[in-house]
Amino acid sequence: MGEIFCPMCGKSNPAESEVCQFCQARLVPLVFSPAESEPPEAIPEEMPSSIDAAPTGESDWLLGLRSDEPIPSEESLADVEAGGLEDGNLPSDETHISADDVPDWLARLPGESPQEAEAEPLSDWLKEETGETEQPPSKPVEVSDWLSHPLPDEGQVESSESESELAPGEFPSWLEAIRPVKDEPQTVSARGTPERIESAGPLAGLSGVLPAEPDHVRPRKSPTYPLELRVSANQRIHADLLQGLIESEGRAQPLPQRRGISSQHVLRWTIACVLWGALLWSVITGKQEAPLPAYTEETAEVNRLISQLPGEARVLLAFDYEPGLSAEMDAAATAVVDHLMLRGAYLTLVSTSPTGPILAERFIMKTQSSHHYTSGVNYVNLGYIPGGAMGLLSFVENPQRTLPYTLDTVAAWESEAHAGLPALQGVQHLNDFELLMVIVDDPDLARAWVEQVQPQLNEPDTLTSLVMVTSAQVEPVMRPYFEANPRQVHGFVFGLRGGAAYAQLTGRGELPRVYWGPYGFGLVVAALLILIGGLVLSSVSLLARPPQVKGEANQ
Amino acid sequence: MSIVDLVGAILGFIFTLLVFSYIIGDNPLFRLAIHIFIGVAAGFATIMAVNNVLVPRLLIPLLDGSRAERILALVPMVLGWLLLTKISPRLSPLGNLPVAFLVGVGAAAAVGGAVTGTLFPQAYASINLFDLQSAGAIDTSLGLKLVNGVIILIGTIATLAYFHFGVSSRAQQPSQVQVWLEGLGQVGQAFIAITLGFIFAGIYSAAMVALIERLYFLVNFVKPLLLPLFPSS
Repeated sequence: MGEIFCPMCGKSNPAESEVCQFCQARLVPLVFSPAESEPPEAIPEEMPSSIDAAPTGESDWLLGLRSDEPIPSEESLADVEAGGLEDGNLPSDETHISADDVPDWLARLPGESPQEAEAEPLSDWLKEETGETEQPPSKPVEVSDWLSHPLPDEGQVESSESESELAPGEFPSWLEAIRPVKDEPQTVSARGTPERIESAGPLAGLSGVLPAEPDHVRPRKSPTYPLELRVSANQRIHADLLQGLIESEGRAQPLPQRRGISSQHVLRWTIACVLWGALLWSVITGKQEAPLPAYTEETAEVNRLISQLPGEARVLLAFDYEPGLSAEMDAAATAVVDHLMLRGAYLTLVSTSPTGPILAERFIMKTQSSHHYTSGVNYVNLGYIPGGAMGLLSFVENPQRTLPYTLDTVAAWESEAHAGLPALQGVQHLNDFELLMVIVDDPDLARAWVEQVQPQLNEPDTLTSLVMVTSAQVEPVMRPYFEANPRQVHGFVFGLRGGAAYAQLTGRGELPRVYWGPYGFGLVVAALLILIGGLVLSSVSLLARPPQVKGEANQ
Repeated sequence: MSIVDLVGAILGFIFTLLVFSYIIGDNPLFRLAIHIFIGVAAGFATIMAVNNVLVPRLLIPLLDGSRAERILALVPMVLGWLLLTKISPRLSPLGNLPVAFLVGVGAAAAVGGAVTGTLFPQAYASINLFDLQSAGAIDTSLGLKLVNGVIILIGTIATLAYFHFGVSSRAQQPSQVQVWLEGLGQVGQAFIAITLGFIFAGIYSAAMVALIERLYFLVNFVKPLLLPLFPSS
């Protein structure tokens, strides 16, 4: 069963309702049909009877509801017109009360005795209530004078009014517009369309009533938007895979059963043996010497910046890599730091990694031992910068407060009571360093250095450059900063390849030269393994393809 | 070679072999080496924090600093003690204050750095790729610069399109990604695949250098021990 919502009060009503059960507002739009647009006819004089005329399609319950209204029926009105009231006869549905039912206080009222009231006939509904079957003899009820006179005709009323001395008052226009029209013909609106008379609700009988429920206001179901997302089969697979991963996070995974030697183990061992054998042979014999790679633009830029450093320049050197990647980072940075030391630069070592300071000491002692740099004289190790990006920002803004002491807990900076170490003399701010060099293996850490430090170097009178020595995996992240215009990183050396290229530029740096031969040989072997593996896998998959699929492919 | 160096070399040789044992699968020797590495790293980080952070930046100002330095040092000390209350479930709410401070300042530093250090400069640099005067001043190969700029522009837009998951919704029609946006996203997927492949190649390169370094270490460690056995060589 459908329902409709009242546009005025918003409550639910049955779909076939014409007016709201709660506020009597119209629910069915008042729309003129072509037949109704004919010239207006005179409104019937007796409005109640016209209302009682059931419109087409009107429901029974509405008719029943209207029958309960205190509107005189046609018969009773006919009786009234016939002068029945003159005789004191009331319509049949007039209430008759017996003497027993009259309370004492009412019986003591003057004008009518209980006996007289007892003589009045009982109405039908009262008979049913009391169970009486015989109707007592009725006695005419006295009616008041105004009711006992016959109702004059409308024409007589008008004539009597015109005869009266009082001048008729003029209604205001708004009141004239809304007064019930009984005898006026249906009015025509300014647009020439006949104005419909409201036939239901509290405004029944009024013409020109603004429809409160035009069609465009009529409530209707809101459009439904399907929530189902159209996805491809590939996307569905990915979504299922992601859902499986997420669900598996909360599940306890059973311990895998220890299996014997499988083909995967054999394959893994084979690859490891081939790769290790090739590398070991290359390391032991040292016969796979390959020419060092050509330098690139970013490497040449680092070389140019270091070459232009003044004598005894102050250089900040950050060692931000983990011990696991120290092999690659040492090989990449050896030739660069060697170049710095050749220029006689004072080095200030820092690190945002707890293991960085000790790696820096190891690097200076092992790879640059030929320069005889002494801690506290040629270089100073300020140690660990705690706090990650926050610590970096703090160090950039106030290096003296962030790292006041060296790794040996010695006051490092120049003050009134302390002369300061040679590497930090004249340095108050980060811009006082001639060069900032970051040796980093982590892309996020490299980006943090650029983001926190580089904006501080953009001041107009700053000549400090920022260069990087990075792992090979950091190169894709760092290259946009180098190729930007203006450059955010003024040069960088990446991985063993960059270190070897820099070694070729300077003609120094033993470590990358030693590693470069086995590295190139290992890369060739790895490429061959990948190629052979791909061919074998393709062959196996082709041979294992079902025959019918082959037939389909041929077709 | 000193005793310390000799012990260090022997330990290095042993632990290298223990880690290499992973080639036969997960085994107790490999796990022993990993546990020792983790424990040593944690202990070293603790010592570094005490020696390089707590002593110079908390204890020395409290003991030998001026009055202002002592008062200033009290703030991190109180926050540090409050952070320690996170150990106890009953007292852990007291640690919310320093945690909130750390998270708030950390997020502000990270976001501020990303905006001023990466977002704006990189957007500006992408725009400058099509600045003909600037490109001409840097490099004479103007056409090559423009081609490079177009590729970068397409890669940027296509990659952004790949991460666009919005759909157009129309009444009575199933929601679906717009066709042109899906095609652009596939181009972006190719750019992402190339980038990830580049990064993976870098990781492989770093691992190979580490392996070469370890092999050199093993050879250099074993060679002196084996030389007496082969005096003729």
